[in-house]
Amino acid sequence: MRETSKKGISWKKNIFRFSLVIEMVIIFIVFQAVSRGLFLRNANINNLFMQSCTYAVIGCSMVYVMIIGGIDLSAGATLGFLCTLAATLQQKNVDVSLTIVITVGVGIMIGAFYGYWVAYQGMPAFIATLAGQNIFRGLTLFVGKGMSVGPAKEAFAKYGKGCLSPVLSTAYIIIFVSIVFAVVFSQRKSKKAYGFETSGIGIDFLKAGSISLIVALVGFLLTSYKGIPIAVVILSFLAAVMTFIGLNTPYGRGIYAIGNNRDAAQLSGINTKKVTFCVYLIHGAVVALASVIYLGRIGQASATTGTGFEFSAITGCILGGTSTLGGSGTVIGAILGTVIMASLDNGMALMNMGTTWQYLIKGVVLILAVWLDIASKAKKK
Amino acid sequence: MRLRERLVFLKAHFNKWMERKGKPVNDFILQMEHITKEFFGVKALDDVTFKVKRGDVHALIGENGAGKSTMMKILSGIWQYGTYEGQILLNGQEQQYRDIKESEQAGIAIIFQELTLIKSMNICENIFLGDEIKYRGVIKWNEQIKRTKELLMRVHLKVDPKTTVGELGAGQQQLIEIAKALNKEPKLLILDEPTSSLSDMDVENLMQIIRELKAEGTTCVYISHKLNEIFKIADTATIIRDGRSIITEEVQNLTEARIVSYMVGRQLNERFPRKEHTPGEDVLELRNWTVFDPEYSEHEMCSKVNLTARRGEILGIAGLMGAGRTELALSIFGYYHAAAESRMYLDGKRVKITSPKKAIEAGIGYVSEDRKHYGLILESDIKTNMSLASLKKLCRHGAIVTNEEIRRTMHYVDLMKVKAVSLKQEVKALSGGNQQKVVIGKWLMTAPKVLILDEPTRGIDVGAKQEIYNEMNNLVDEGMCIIMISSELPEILGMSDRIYVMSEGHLSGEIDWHEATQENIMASAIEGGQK
Repeated sequence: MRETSKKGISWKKNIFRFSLVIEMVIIFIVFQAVSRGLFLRNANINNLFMQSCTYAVIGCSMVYVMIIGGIDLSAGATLGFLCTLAATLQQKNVDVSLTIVITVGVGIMIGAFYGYWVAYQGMPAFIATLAGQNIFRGLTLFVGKGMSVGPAKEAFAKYGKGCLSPVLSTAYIIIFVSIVFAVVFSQRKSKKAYGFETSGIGIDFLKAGSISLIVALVGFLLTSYKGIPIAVVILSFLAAVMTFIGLNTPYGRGIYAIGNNRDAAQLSGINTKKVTFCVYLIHGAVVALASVIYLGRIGQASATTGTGFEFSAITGCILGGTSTLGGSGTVIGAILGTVIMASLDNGMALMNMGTTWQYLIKGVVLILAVWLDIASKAKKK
Repeated sequence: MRLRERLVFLKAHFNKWMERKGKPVNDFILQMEHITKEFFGVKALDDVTFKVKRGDVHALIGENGAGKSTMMKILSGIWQYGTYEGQILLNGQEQQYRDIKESEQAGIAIIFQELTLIKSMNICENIFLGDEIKYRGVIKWNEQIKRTKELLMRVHLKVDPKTTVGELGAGQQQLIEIAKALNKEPKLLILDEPTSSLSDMDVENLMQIIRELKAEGTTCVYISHKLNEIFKIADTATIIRDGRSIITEEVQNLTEARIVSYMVGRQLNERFPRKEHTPGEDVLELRNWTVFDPEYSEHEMCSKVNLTARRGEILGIAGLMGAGRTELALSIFGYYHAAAESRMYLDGKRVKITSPKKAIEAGIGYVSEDRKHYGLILESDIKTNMSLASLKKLCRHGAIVTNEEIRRTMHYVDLMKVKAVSLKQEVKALSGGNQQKVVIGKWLMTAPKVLILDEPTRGIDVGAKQEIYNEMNNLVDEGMCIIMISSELPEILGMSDRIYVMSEGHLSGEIDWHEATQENIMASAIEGGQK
């Protein structure tokens, strides 16, 4: 009896994650049908992955900004500014690695700027970042002089549009799969060392196996076309690090605790200001990383670069189960959510849908996502 | 409606006439008869009868939790008609209020203990909020300002009606509350502990205003436990205890000792696992400990407290609501900051604790009186909650060792006998008692030298209470110092080795448990008002 009830709970818990995948499948099928097979063609899948990457990278840290109860409305403008900055540096023949270091450094400074206002001056995040949105739009014009800057050098562009060679792709897939197995089984071993009950070896194997299977399948699909995009590799690494920080460090626990109950967190000895500051700091660095990837893919930056990116990242996070009130959310959910947003962009573009409709539909998606979040909370109560 | 008013008027005159003829008639403006109110099977009020004579200042006295607030909530319609038993008569007519608006229309105005003013609005806006004087939907400001000036005169406040309320002191804000209530021209004005945050000057002013209102014919119910105020102002007093009305008597026939004995005169029948402890050396010492209210900087929440807590003892801190006990605890814990001349010694060494983080590192734990707001992350599971204050100890190379975390959590779940399906259960779904055990377990995990328990058994069942009491004894035997703040006198008497009594921010008494009685603790707790 107990076993079945336990299983029932875990199914219920997982149904949300599945619902995301189901949403994704529905969107894929619709676009596949409407675009007459263009959507799921190899070339477009590669394209979709590349497009998603920028959003998904931003989503990786946006999710923590939202969990702690904040928001970043300036992500798009910041990205535009950093892209223009990096492109300008490239034009001035600055070394590629130095360009990246400078871009990320400036990103961290921007994050520190927001962190200072939000954490230490108690400014509402949406105000601080709304102001930042204008500031960085202005600075973009200042740095780029209103013109499009580019193209970026090939050595730089590889982070955005380069792909691993088939050999490296295969190696990447193998490494990924072995890491999944290593993590699952080292957890198992550690549990045993502590004398805890472990789930059957079959279940663990199935868990690791099914993740590996999906990764391998998608991986080989991409390999058969051009190879696994370097941006995807960067994203997977970032996602792993961010997930680890969120779940397995005192700092990450602090983020969730502050988002749920700031007073209780403070009375539990968490330095709420410092943690909040660091969240924005990391977010700044991650947006800079997204800028490098985006500039690499597009090749040039202009005054409108990044417009609306914050919208896709925020909507993606909410679709992926991040609470609008803070306190809950996951990196993997944010990534899936942003991929859905990118699919919408991609699919609607394939269908030659007018910009009017694209805006309308994306707006409605955000309303629906927030409504789902509110409705599920109301039900719980 | 008019006819009814006229009838009431005639009746009042008739009564006066009868009185003059030497046959006093009990003319009650308010009669609450046989009121019973249950919360989840627990009787908060048990057959309470409360009658107020017209024109009187009637004091309602009782300990925290005696049922005063519940009575007022029933009277004002917050607990609407039908959710309680018994009947309410106003001017002899039965009343069935469904919300505050209805009770206000009937002529009852209540000023609650917590101020309800909106600080960013000015006096005039506050007084007329929700009750604006308007013509075709547009507010008539001049009319409102004029009326506000009249009201401010009545409460002896010489300020501009357009002053922002946030700029006023606590005493003046209290007067604005009264002005707001007077604007409704109440026949019955109820003041719920109006002086809890007022200075002596403000209190004197308030007394004068109440006397004037009385002369104008307004009946007042004055809820307080400050006996000196009651002797000054009240004609009649009703004392309630544990949800029952004990006695209604004219104040001139009462003495302080009698009131105290009525307030606490319950039988001590609850069992406490009393154990003799052998206290060791001093672990926590406060000298000249003063804490100012961060909101009203002129108000001292704790003033010049000198306190010593020893290893291996349960130090009880008794006192009434608003005496500054929680504020004292929060300032020891670094959440509030003590004034410059205050000193704290931990194990004989002077320490400065500026944040809860530093307090935890120094070996102080604090279990809040309000576990839902200050103790728990309700949406998270048991494990996450229990480990939250000791994550640093569970880390290797900066990362939490999950299995170590589970092991430690399991240890404290077993120790505290938390009843739960698994460590991954959301604490929201636990009973009050189990939630409290989780919070206490969380603090035990930090291995504190001094553990402050603020109302450790509030709102939990008897079984869980006993388990927590037993665990407290075990911890003290192992050498921990427990400071227990409690409003329940039996708990203070049953568990403490030594008792400090707080009153209006001061420590007004230190009593060894052998000599402690409900009466001498209560006398000490209300002493502050006697200065």
